[in-house]
Amino acid sequence: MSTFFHQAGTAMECLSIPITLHKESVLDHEGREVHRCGFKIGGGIDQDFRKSPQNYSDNGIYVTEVQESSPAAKAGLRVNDKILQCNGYDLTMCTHKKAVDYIKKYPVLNMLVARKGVTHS
Amino acid sequence: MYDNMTTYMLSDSPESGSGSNHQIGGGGNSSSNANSLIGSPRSTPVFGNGHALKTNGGLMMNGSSSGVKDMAGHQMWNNVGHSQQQQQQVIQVPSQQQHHRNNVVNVDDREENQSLRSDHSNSMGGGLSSSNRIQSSSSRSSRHHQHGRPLASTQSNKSSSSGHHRSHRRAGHRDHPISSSPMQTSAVLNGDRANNGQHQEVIEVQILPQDDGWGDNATALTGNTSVASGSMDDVSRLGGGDGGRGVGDGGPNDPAWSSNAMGQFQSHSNLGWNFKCQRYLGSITAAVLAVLAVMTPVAMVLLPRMQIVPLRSEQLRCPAECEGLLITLTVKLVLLILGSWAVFWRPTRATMPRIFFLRTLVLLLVFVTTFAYCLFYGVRVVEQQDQLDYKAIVTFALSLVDALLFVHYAAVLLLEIRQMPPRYYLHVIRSPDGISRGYPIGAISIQRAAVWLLDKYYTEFPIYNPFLERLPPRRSRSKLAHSSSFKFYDLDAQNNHGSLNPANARGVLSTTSSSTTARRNNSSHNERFYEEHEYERRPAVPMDPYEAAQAIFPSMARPLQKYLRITRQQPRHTVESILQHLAICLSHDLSARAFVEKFLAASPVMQNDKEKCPIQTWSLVCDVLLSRGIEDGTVFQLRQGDVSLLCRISNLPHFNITEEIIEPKSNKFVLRLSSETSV
Repeated sequence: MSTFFHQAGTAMECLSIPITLHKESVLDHEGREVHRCGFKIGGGIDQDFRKSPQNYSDNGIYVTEVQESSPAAKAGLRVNDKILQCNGYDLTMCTHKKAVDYIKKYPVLNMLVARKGVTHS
Repeated sequence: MYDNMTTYMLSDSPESGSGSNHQIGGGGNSSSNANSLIGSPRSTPVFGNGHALKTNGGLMMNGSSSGVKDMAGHQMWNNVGHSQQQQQQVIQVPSQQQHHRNNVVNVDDREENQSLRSDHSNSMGGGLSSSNRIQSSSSRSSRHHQHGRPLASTQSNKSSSSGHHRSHRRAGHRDHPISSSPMQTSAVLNGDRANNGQHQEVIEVQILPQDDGWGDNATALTGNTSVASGSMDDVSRLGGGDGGRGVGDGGPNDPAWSSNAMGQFQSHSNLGWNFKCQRYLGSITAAVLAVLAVMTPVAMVLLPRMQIVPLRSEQLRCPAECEGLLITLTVKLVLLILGSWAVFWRPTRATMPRIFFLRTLVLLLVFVTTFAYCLFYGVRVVEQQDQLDYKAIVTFALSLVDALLFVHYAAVLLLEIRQMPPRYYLHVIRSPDGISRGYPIGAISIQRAAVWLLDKYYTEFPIYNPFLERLPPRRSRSKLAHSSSFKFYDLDAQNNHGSLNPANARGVLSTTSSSTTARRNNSSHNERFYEEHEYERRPAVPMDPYEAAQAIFPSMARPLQKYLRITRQQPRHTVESILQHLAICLSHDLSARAFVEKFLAASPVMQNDKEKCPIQTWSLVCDVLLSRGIEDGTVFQLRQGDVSLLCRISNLPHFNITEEIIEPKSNKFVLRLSSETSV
């Protein structure tokens, strides 16, 4: 369970699910082309996890919503997954904004995800 | 009924066996209270029971029944409506089921025993008017158990006012009555820790002495209570008292000097008519005079036109030259008005006691000029009506305007420019806290210098904090306490000193219960008495300030010289100069800090007496020709002996002020409770 009670900065060893997400190109409301993943994240070391409505237990980056028929759903991402790594960037010890930046950086995301009940018992 | 429940009654009379209410004696009775409590086994059993003071029908406090709560809650004994009454509390405690809780609390309480009580007695003063706090520790009722030690610890208090009762829990001490002042009695019941297996209830019902003095400490202080510095009252009296003495009128449109700059206190009651009169007299006079002066040339020119001065029509002809003169007249008048407005039209800053000489001079000039011109105009017009022509009149008016313009110029010079180049160094010390500043100042009168200085004072001096003056004694006392013991609960001292030792009791009650502190406090109290006595014994010879300084100096010479030696200021201050300085401080009734400021404040340079010689020679070194103007990057050096000053000139940046408009509508905020970002 230390995966989900992780103290940012400490070493952790756990199983994880690798997820490859290919973003889709859409036009946003202003007409510009953006790469869309289709999920929402919350958390970060600058956030207070105790105030999270989903009752997260540490300062990691969590998936708070996955939209239907989105690339995220197709890739197998689920709600309340904790993203450990994204394209080699460590998301267990980064701020919310940084996590967003990393995720938005590349059109293909190779993520390592921890899921309660799956990656550990 | 629980077998270990007993009715506890606290009273001051041995016959207080009944459950009815008794008055607990006031300060004088408290000792008897203790005696009776200790003496009467019946009334000593005290019950410790955590929070659970149960009151049944028999339990009552005078008038406090409204405040009595049930076991479960905190006990708050409200003494509403019963001021000056002592309360008796009758508490019934079932202890059986509270056993464990008691023990736990007992442990805690024992440690904080003394401090708890004393803290409460002190902290109560913080905001509550505490009424009776009855505190007692209890052990098992002696009726039922042999091992219970029948020492009741109570501290009865003096009369109470309305407020809260508190019941504290406290494990009793073994066999030792806590030392108490005459005001309080304390007896300790032994909460027997050895008998952990048995049930002990410890009820803390404590009557603590009322510290009525605390209220005074908490109230706000009136203004400036120091004798050494002037209070606002003095200042306001100063402002109002000399009403009528000053005339001081300002320049053409006066302004600067007749209103009061000394603060809002001036608007208060004692400055009625007199002050207002004085304040506005100057400006009004000046304004009137200015208007008159400006209207005179206009009138001179207009009067013939309006046939008030009867002139023939051919005299009123105005050829080109004359028209040119008229235009010049208008322009100059406009310039005069503009100049007066720009320089002199402002709210008066100060009401001064003596006349503002320069301003009066200027106004006099204006008046004389105008009057002379009017006079001549009248004479000419009346006498030589036939020979006049309009051009002459216009020329005459024009010359008046010229004269007025020059008077205006002189006014600007006298009132504004003359005082600008600095000629003197003004050093100012504030008395109670010794803060000082120095300023260069030009050639102005003393009262104007005072006003100028006040401007600087209000904008540059740090705030005067009268409370800083009061702290040191407390700090030193608490320092004593802290240095000797930090939260040192002197149980042994109580053992040693037995019961009614007042000094110890005070120590107990103070925030740290070190008995040494108490003793020190005691002796310091006496010391002061003896010191004062000694002073009175000295023969009272009236001395002038210098002699007084000489009399005082030896007592402080040693520490002062030590300090000077350490800070290596010794060569700077001769004994003679110190005595002089002390004499001045005494004669002006300054505080000690103000006297010491001279040795503490190392700046500015002018303060050094040795630097106050009439001629100071500095040599100027520069790469560039010295008579050129300073520019960005100019470097020059001033040298005098060992000291050299390197000066560098740099440009001030040009400020580009841009306007940025923030739409209030777009300046909205959204509170995001859960920070999610969609990617």
